[in-house]
Amino acid sequence: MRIGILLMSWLCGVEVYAQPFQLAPPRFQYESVFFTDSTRVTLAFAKNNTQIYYVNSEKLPTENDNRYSKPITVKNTFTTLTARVFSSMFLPSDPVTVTFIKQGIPLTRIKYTKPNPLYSGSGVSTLYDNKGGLPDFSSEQWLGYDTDTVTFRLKSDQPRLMDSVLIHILEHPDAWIVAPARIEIFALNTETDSQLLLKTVDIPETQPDVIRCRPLLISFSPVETEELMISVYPVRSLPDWHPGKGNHAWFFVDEIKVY
Amino acid sequence: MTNRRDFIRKTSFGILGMGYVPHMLAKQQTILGHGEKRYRINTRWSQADVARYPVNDCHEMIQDHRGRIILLTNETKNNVLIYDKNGKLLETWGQDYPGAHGLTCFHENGEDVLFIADNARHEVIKTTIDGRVLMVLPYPRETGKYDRPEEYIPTETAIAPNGDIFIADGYGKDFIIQYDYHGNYIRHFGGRGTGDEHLLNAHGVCIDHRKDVPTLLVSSRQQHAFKRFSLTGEYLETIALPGAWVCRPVISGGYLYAAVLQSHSRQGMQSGFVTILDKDNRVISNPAGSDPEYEGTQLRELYQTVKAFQYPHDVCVDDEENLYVAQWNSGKTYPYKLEPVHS
Repeated sequence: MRIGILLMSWLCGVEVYAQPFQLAPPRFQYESVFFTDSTRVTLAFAKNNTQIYYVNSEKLPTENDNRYSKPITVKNTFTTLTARVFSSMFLPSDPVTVTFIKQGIPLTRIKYTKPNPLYSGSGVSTLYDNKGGLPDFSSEQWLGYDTDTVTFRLKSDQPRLMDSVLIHILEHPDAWIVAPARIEIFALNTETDSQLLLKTVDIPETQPDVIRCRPLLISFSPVETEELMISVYPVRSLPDWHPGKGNHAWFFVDEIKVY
Repeated sequence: MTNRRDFIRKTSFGILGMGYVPHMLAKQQTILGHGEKRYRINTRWSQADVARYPVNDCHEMIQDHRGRIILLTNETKNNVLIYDKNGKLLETWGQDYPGAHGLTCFHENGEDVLFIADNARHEVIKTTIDGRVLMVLPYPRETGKYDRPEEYIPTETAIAPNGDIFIADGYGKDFIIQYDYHGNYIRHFGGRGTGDEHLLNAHGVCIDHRKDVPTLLVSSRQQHAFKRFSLTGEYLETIALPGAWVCRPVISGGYLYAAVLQSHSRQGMQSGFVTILDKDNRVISNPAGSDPEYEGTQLRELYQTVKAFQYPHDVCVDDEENLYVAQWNSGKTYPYKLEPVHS
């Protein structure tokens, strides 16, 4: 259709209003990506003659998808929304994807490796306060680590069947914050003082060119336990593509959920 | 409900898709801005040969009294590039300013003189319009706030009608240091803190001569605001610009213009734009930025809407109301020109 307009303009001797510029992404407005029962998500873009379209997945929205008109209520355990802005005058924006995450198994106690004092959030409650999912790493919603190993011990109120862990992290390459290299999940038995390795995940190195929050959901064979231990191994040496190559990377986490 | 395994597959190793943006056509007719301040953008204004006259960060621009457009870059092959308004390169000079950042023109005894704030040399240098050094202002030890030159990283200079020199230490300790026209220290104010009178990233400074009594406007970039002071350093008011990392304030024709380095909501993502305020300090136009919206007197958060710029660092307004936008860290690109659209 756009080509047709351009061709008609040219045939009629009208100046060709070709637009080489792209729209910026739409804005997601929400209190936190974590919620207990439900949450409301507003999409915004303060520019006349633009429309926001969105999908409930990571697929690239088109003008045939949902046109945003009012706040979206989110209730499901994991809800991924992807939105994009369109206008007849500019190229469509890049997509923005946000995943909203519902409360998991209640945790009564978390023991954790103390973060770097510069990025200590609001203490251990940072990890289960249902606040977060915003990419400002200097906020009190993030714990930041520059150590080789980070350990979390998560205790529930009673033995429960568990089959996955969600670790919500930040990727901010310019700030040397990248996904960790490896994560290990253990079930702990305090009576026998033993631990069972449930899962090891090596996270492939990526080269993100955006700042983003990223939910790492790690599943394992269901196990009935009262306590889990997560060992996180941050990247020790930033890769060659990174301006800080060779330096120790940072690992940032703002919430951990167990299901 | 999303299937958990499906979710795992998509989120554990997925990557946010980035759209490919073709640079489609040479003829550009994009109109940016709002209301009476709308502009046609020209990204190919500069006719300089990039092989002979490269730029690095394009930090600031001014128009001299001969109508020429002068660009300051931290490329030491040619720190200063002088153009006509059509983008024809007329001359270049300067190889001694590795941290060339702030450029201010002052008409002194019938002659234009320049003030260059160099944040690598930790100095402000006054020159003739063709580059002859007239005065060097070193780090302000007289303030008692600095032990070493490296603590002082000046970003901008403003010259009062009486010749007093105000230097913004915008990448250092955020003080404004005032000198007389000979370079003798008078006072300092601002600096970091929690009071209204304090500054955070005092990146730019200018004399606001729109009212009978001239005042000093200072960017407090990381506070997303301009702050107004008397010319003796008393704090007067804050002009809040939520979400906007505002660079130097530029006064022209009753309006206040500023490049916005980036949107706070999309830091590090080439999310800059330009903002224009009227004489009552209300935002009336944001070329490449969001529609200005007020709830009562409260300005809603500003942000980029069109990716026309990456990191705008300064705006120059010429005698025909054209804007020239210099950019930092934007692929060593030359400035863009914005020509007014009169409806």
